[in-house]
Amino acid sequence: MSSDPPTEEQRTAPNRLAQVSATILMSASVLCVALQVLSRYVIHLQITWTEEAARLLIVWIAGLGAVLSAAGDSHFRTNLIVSRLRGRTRHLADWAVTLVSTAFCLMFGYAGVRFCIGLSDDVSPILSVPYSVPMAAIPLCAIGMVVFFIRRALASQSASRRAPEPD
Amino acid sequence: MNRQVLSLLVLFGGIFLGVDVAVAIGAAALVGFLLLGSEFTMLLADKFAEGLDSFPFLAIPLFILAGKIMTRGGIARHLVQVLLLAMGGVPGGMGPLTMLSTFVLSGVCGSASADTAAIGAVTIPEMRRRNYPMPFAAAVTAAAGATGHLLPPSIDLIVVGVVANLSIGALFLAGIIPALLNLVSMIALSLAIAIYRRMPAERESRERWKQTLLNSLPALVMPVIILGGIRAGLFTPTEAACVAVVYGALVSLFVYGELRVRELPTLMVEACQATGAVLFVLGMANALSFLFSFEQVPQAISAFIRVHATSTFEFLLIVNVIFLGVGMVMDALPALIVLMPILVPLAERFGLNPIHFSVIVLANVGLSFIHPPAGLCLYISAAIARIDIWRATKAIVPFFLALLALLVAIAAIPELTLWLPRRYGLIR
Repeated sequence: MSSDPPTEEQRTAPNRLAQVSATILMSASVLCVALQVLSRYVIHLQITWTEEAARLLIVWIAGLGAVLSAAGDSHFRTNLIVSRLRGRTRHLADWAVTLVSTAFCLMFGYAGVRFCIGLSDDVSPILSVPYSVPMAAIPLCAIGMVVFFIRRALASQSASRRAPEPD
Repeated sequence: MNRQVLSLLVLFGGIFLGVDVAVAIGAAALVGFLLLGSEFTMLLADKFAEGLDSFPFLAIPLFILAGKIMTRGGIARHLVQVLLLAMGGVPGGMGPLTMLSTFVLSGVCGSASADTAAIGAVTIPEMRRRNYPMPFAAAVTAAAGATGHLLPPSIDLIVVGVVANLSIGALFLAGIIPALLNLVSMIALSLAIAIYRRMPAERESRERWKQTLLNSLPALVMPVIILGGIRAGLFTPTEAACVAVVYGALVSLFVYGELRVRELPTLMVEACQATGAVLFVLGMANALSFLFSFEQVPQAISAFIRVHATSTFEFLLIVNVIFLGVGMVMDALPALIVLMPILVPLAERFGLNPIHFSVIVLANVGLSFIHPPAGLCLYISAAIARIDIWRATKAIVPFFLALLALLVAIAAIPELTLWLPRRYGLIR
């Protein structure tokens, strides 16, 4: 429930940083599109940069949203097989998932850095924003996801140590 | 082993291991790019960003935010109150109420399972309090979750429109009649079961009616703004989503007073999080689609389908079996993102209108939410109702068969989907 007080996990620094950034990005996207509608119907003037700004924002919203989803463990996933595993096999499967996810994100981040470097001379047509600015969301998103994947795996391991082994 | 097979092994191996679907899709693309040469790895980031470079995609976070504001700010509650009154005199009225609530409010969060969890958490305990049979409560809630995604402004419609390069406005209009048919049949079925089982009916006074309608008027205007604005050509779907956010916030803050300004950031964070899960899949699926196009996989799938499907009927049968199978093990949205760009051009070759075909596929996806072994909506509603999954499965059989019959009707009668977009000049 949205009005619930934040948990200890949500108060941690990486979470707070992601949450503040998400609020700024979502507010900016609402503002851009609202300005586009208002300019057309209220001041009868077609503003051209709002659509471009919104398109630049969406990569950041996607990247940050992916980090928040990793933090909240809410990415699409199927647990059909893993949920049937117990004990040591389950721990191994969980660590395998973390390993695959972390390795992928590191490679994704590396690809993002190379992509940003490749774009360093290109700018957007109306706002003249260097394309590397919106695309910087990719490596940052990858790093953020790695942090939360590892934290999730560690938390799950310490929880399973505390819980008694099922019969 | 060739590159395509290895990529597919990584994709399905990852998904079955329990890796996030977006990561599995991205890893499959990455393996393919690495096998082409290490200099191709940059394409993963390039195609990810390209897949998100679309103004209509901004409708996704904005509609999700609008949905969260409606729920937290009392708009959803007022809509439900009107529905509760309307269904008060009907035997087993909580069943149709659940259907209507899900129908009105669902589709905007990007996940039918999340819709079922949100609405079921309110309606199932209420049905328990009123002594409704719990298998019926679970079945009605799950079946409701399978109907809403065809109604605009569903995220599924927006995603299919963008990935298959179709008019989102036309898809919105095309989904309305099939969605209403699904709803009417589900309500009729739940009423028939309620009458057969002699479930209770509660009547409300005329005064209560007047007062509720008056209080709910600002809430009732919201769907009119969204659909009316798009249909009248006043807004694009993205702009309509933004107008819904602003209108919803103003009504929740100043008319109902149920939302505080300091709660807005929390709702924005939640919307950003839900959006991230959807858009991350979209970006990764674009990278995998590029790899598959490079490797001529669509042509191979086309050739396979053309060999095995000699008629439109057989083509639709194969497509429906694929989506039913996929829906058994995972949320359908990632499958839509990967498969629709391949299947829509193929459907056109079989003489199907792409808008009609997309609605058929989405109607099929609705079925996959409720059929075992992994009908997510059914699992969630059974968990909330605290009953065994097999009792819920038995109770949902009539709803599943009704939706299956409607899927056949939607496929067989193109005018059910195409009449409205044609009427408003959005397709020829």
